[in-house]
Amino acid sequence: MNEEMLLELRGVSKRFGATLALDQVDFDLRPGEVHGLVGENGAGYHSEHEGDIILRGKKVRFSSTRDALAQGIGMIYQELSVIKTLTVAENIFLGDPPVTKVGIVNWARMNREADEHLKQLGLHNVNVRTELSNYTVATRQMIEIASVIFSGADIIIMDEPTSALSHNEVERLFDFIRVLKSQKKGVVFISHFLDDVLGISDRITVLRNGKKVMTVNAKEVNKPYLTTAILGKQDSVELVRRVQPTKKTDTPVLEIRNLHRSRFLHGINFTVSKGEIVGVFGSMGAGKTQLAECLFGVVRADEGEIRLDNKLVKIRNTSHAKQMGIAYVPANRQATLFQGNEIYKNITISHLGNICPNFVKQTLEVVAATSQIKSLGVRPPDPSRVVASLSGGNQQKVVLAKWLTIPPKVLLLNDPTRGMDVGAKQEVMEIVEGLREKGVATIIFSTEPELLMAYADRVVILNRGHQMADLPNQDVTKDILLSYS
Amino acid sequence: MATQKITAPKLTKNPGQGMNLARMFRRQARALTPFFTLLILVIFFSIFSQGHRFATPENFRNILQQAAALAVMATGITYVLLLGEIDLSIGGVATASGVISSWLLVSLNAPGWLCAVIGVLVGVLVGLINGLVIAKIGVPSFMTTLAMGTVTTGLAVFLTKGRPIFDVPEVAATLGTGTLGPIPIIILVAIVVMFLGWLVARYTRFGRYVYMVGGSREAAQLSGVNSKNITIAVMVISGMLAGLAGVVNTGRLGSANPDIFKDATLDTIACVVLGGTSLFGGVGSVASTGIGLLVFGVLKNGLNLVY
Repeated sequence: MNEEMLLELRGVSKRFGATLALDQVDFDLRPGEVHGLVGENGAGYHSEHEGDIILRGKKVRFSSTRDALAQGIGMIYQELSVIKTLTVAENIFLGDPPVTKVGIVNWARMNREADEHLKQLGLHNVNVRTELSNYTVATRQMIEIASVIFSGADIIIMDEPTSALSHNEVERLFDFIRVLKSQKKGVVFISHFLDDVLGISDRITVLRNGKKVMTVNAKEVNKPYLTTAILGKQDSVELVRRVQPTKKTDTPVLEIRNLHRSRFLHGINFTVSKGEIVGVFGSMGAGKTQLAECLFGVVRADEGEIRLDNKLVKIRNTSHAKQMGIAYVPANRQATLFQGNEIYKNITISHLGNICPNFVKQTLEVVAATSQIKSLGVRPPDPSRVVASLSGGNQQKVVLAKWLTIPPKVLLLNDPTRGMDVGAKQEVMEIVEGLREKGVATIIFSTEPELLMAYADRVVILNRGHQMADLPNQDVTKDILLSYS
Repeated sequence: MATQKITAPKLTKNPGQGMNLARMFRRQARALTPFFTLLILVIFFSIFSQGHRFATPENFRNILQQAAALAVMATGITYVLLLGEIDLSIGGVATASGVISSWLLVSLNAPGWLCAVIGVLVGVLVGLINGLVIAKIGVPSFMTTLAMGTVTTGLAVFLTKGRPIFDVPEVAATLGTGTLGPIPIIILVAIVVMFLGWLVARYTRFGRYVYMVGGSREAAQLSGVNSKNITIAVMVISGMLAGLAGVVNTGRLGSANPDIFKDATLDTIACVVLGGTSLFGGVGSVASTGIGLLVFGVLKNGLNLVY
C-alpha cells in the first residue's frame, strides 16, 4: 500500500442513537479510482465519530459537510441540492460569484468560466445561461458534480446517483465519471443498483450491519456473489420470481375503465382483485404517478370510470379516497412525511379519527403507533423519535405504517423500494406480501422489472400514458417489459 | 435481522445519549426567549418608571385591559399562522363588526343582544369568504385578506360616514366595562377565549390537523387530510374572533369608531410572532401568544411611564 491514497479511513465507527451505523470500518480511495460502496444505507460524513480519517496523508476531522467540501470532499446526495430556478452558471458559482471592482456580479466572467469548466469535464451541450430547470435530472446531476469539482473537490461521494436515471442516462453519467477518473479525481459510488456498481467501479467495498465485509476488485466478482456478500449467510434472494399460482379470488375490488387525463393518461383499463398484486411498469414520465394520483384523488381524471367494490365512484379528494379505503404511498418520501415531527404523529395522522375520535391522547397514539412500529420493524423502535433522523427504508415503513392502522381495501405503492438497500427492500416487500394474505388489493408502480417480476401477479405496461399490455406474471420477462416501455 | 424488542411504549423526550443543559436550553430557546424578555422588561420598567408607577396593581390591570381585545384577535391569528397562512383582514373585520352592531342599534332600533350577535356573525361571514376564496379558488391568503380588510374598513367608514357612533349594545358595554369583583370582565373574556383556543389547538383532532397541515401541506394531503376544510375552518375562527374583539371593544370605549383598529392587524400579528409562533406554519402555540401579548402590552405601557 505504498501508493498515495487520496482518502483513508481507519477503524471508523459512527453511532446513531443506540445503533452502530459504522463499526470499525477501514476504507481507502486512490486518485483516479471509482470505489463502489454497497450494502447499507446511511454512509456519510458526520462530525461525531471514532477512528481516523486520513486525507492526502494528513489526519483530519470534519465539523460539517461544508468543512469537508472546503477540504476537497464533495457529496452528491440522492435528492439533488441544486437550485432549479437559477442558471447553470449561477449554480456552479453558487454563493461565491465573481464580482467587478464596484462589487456587482461579473456576469460575463462568470458565464465564461462556467462554460470553460463544463467543457473541460466533457459537458459540451450545456448552455450556462439556461435556467437549470430546463435540463433533465441526469444533466442536473452532472452539473452539480461539476459545481462541486469547481469549488475544489477532488473526492466526490455519490449517494445513489442512478436511482432516478433511465438506462441511457446512466450510460451518460458513467461516461462523465470516466472523464473524472482521467483527471485523477477519486469517486465513492454508493448505490444499491449492483449492476451499476459493477459497471463503473474499480473496487467495491461491501458493508453489512455497519461492519466491512470485504473490499474486492470489481472485475473479480459478479452480481450473485455481491448479493450473497450483502445478505450474509441467508440464501441469495436476488428477488426471485415466485412460481406460485396466483391466489386470485376473482372478486374485483378496483376496476379502472377507459381512464383519461389530458396529456398524461390515454385509456387505462385494468382490474385489481381481492388479494391480488398488480404491477404497473413504465419508465419515468410514462404516467405511473399520474395514474396513482388519479386513483387517490390528488388529481382528477377527465374521463373514464373507477369502480370500487362494483360501485361507480367519483373520488373528490384525498380525504374522500381515504374514507373509501384507498391508501397511497407516494414515490417522494420526503414530501409524504412531516419531517420535523415524531414518528407516532406521522403514523397516526391518517387514521387519527379512529385512534382518538375527538381529543388527541398521546398515550392512545403511542400505543397505536408502537404496534405498527413493532409489526413493521421500524428501527429504532422509538415512537418519539423525529422522522427526519430515520434511514430511507425506515421512513418508508413509517409511510406504510400510517395506512395500516386500519387495513385499506386498495393499496397504491409508487416506487416503494426506491433508494433502498437489498435488505430494506425485502423487508418492505414482505410487509406488502403479508397484506395480500389479508385480501388487500395492491398496485405497485415501478421502474424496476425485477421487483414486479418477483411480486406482481400481473403487470400492466405503460408508455407515455398509453397502456401497452396487461400480462400475467408467467408471461413477463425483462425483455418484454423493456421492449414495451 | 435483529429485531429489537420493546416491552412497553415509552417516550424518551431526548433521543440521543448526551443530555446536557446547554443543549436542552438551545432546543427550548424558541419557547423560553419571549418569557425571559418579558421578565427583563418587567424588572426594567419596575425600576425606571416615573415614581414607580409601573409596578402597581392598577397599572397591571390597565395593561391587561388594553391587551384584552388584541388577545382575542391574536388567538385567531395564532391558528392562521400555525396553518402557514396570514389574515390581514382582522383589523377591518373588528372595525366593521363593532360599527355594524352599533349602527343596527341606532338606526334600526334592534335589540342589543341581536346587534352584538350580528356583529360577531359579520366576522364569521368574512372569515368564511376568506377561507373559501383561499381554499377553493386558490388565491393566496395575503391577497385575499388584504382585500377583505379594505372592504370591511370601507364598509365601516361608509356606515358611520367617518364619525364615531356613540351608542353600543348593552351586552357589549357589560363585557367591555363591567367588572366581576375586582377583575374587569373584558380580561376574563380574553382569558376564556385564549384558554379555549389553547385547549382546541393542543388537545383536539382539529388542532393536530392545523399543526400538521401547517407543517407540510403536501404531506397532509397525501395522508388523506382535507387541508382545504381545515383552512376554511381556521379562517372562520379568525374572522369570528376578530368580530368578537370588535364588538367587545366598542363596549369598552362606549362608541363604535371607524378607525380604532387602524394598527390592530399588524400589532396582533406582531404579538403572535413575538411569542414564538412561526410565520411559516407548524410551530408555535396559543400559550406562547399569551407571552407575546404581555411583552407587547408591557412595552407599550412601560415606555409611556419612563422618564
